[in-house]
Amino acid sequence: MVKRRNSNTLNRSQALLESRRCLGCHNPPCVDACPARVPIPDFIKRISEDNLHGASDLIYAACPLGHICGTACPTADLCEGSCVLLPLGETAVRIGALQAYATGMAEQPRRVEVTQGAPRVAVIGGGPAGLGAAVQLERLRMDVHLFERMKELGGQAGRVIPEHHLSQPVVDHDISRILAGNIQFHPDSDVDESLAAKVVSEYQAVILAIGQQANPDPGIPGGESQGVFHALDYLSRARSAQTREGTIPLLGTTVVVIGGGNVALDAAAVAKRNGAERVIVLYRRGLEEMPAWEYEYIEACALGVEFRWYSVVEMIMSENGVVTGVRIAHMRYSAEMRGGRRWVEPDPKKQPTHLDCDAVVLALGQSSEMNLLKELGIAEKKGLVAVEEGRFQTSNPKVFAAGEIRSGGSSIVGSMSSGMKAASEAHAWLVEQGIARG
Amino acid sequence: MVNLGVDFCGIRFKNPFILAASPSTDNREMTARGLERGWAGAVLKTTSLESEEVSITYPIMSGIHPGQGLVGLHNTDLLSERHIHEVAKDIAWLKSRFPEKRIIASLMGSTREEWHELVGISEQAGADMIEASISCPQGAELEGELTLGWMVSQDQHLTEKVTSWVVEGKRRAPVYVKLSPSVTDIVSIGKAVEQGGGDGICAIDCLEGIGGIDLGTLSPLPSVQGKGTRGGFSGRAIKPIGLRIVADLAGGVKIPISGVGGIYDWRDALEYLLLGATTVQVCTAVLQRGFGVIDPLLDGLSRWLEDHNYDSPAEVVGLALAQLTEHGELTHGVKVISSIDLDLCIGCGLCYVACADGGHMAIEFPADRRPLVQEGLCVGCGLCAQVCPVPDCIKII
Repeated sequence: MVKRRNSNTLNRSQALLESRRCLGCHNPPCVDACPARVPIPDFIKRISEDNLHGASDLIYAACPLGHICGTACPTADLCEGSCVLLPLGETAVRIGALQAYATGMAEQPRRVEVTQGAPRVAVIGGGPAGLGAAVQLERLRMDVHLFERMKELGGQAGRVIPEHHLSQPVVDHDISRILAGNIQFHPDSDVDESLAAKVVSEYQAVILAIGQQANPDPGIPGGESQGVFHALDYLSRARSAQTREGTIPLLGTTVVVIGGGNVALDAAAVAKRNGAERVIVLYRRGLEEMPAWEYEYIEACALGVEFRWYSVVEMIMSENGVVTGVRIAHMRYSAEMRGGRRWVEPDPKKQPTHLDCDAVVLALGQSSEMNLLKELGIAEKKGLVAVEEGRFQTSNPKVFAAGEIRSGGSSIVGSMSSGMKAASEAHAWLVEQGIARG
Repeated sequence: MVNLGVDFCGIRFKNPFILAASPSTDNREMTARGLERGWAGAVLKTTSLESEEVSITYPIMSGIHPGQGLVGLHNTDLLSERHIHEVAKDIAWLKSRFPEKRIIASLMGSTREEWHELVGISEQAGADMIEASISCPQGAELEGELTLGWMVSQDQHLTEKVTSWVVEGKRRAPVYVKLSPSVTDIVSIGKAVEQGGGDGICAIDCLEGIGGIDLGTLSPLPSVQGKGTRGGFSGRAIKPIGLRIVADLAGGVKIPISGVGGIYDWRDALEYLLLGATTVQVCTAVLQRGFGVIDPLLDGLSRWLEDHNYDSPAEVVGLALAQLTEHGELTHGVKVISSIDLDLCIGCGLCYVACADGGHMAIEFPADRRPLVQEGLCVGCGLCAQVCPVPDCIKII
């Protein structure tokens, strides 16, 4: 799932003052912390000199989703978290807000003409990874075709992240810049199992950036009851209702959210903001092991969302097929480590307890649609596309994987830069094969 | 992208930005890095004949930095401890690596013969231009006499005489003369350069100053074993002086000018061009921020020119001079007043204090911390706008 953080907007006065706080470090740690390696001190210097177009050009060159990332990047965990002002006891330079400010003032990019007879490259998926790949291929003067199963580009950035974190105008700002270029956008084009082989045969290279949107069945008994929702479905419905100024569906009076990631906390926050009296997050480990960004947790607490730690739902209870509560097993840390984190086991001293509720939101992670990979004969590994460490080429040499289907959950900026790197690797391969000019 | 190429004294530069003579250009590897980074040329640190004894005492730097940043840098540096024959090797080395960049030899001699020799060696090594340094605040030597505490360029007749010596020595490379701002009539000095046959002028060199006093030891700064001396003050704070000198020269002499003094960003550089400079030189900003300051300089200047439909920096040289006039010529009797944007105001009250004690007691500061300009009392002096910490918050309209 895409991670992000909230950020507010700066006016010109604030941006000028904030820009003067940047020391312009050598080998800046903020740039090292940025997956897109945005030249942060350089663009901030340009803001301080009233050269906003110079600033936004630098940002967009490194980060085609510059306005989205400036607004929604988890900056405290990336660039701002590495600011050298922090050890001085000062607050970090508000890099995200400055980036959002400069990119908000950007002029439309100049069109790069496609070279005659350039190789045709398909990008499947119009989320951050697919967009990053498409822009990079366009810059490398490829004939780029971007397939998106929905009408709109943006993927989870545009469909799932709550409006209060990332508003539609911010998403549209970057998408419209991208669409102003030479990328051939094919909306409503679901490249499913039946079409995939055709696309791979018709294009000279394919970037696979379909992300993770499948909801794996967590296998909790009672999961089929009425009143059980998948977090991504709920967030996506809420987002589209907000965008159209419609009403966000009320989940229930007491909502239980199962999971401890950003999706879980987003769903909890959206439910609490939209009518639920009580929202209780159940997470199998303790706060210190919760994967959600810290600001998501702070925000949820401020909204009055409750947390129950070391809690695993054993069963969803129902009457006449409608949810009435959950049975919770209480856990403790075991000696075992899984995926670098402490695993848990049932606490033998504690009996399972019951919690009444009228809605349950499942936020236990996403997975990729594997049928497509099977159809294309692409090797997979642990539910993701198998690639060599640091590489993007799949077992089908024409096909390159980018974003969450390659590496699992990521931030918008991480997925986008993964797409850009996959595109560069695909281009290098086309050159190597004598298909593209170097 | 606008072609930023310019001509200065008949020599073509790829852009108007030149590294000034300084510690940055006292080493060929450093200079090479600067040229690689995008500077159009470099004035190598001022050098002299081997007979000249140069002994720098360290430290050489002190500064003033109220709040964030370095507003001015004070130094007691001297000319290079590396003499002409060594620097000549650097000139040849740099020219062979950067044939399209301009290498300028900055020279300091004390007799006619010395100047001839210095110029001859520099030209032979391949220097594109000669900078005659007669403005170093640390003083100079003229025909065996020490001129401690004053400079050749503070005297009209000496300036003309020395300029003519330098010019006599040249075969090919244009000669420009670097001038000090510490004079009563800069135009007479500029004309002396013209009379002496100089091809151009570079202004301004550092201002003479004293860096400060260490209040523990009472030593002037920078302190060398408990003692300090006069030195040169440079950096952001001297820009208004540099701009004034360049504008005066542009109005009084015909030869081209290279502007120096407090250039930190592209807007500073553009201001020098608009007041009559053809090229600019940068020293302190590079000492503070490195050669990389060239990137935003080139980017900002190029974008401004493009946005204003100019095809070359040469088109804007001196454009603002028409609007520089005598005080008596300004429009009198126009009423302007201070206008405070309360949406931006942070309620600090600095405008109130400044106006109450340094203006016209025209700003009220009630308990709600919302300053209120009394239009009847405000004369529009503009002090409040200068002390306000929030950009754009106070405008004089």
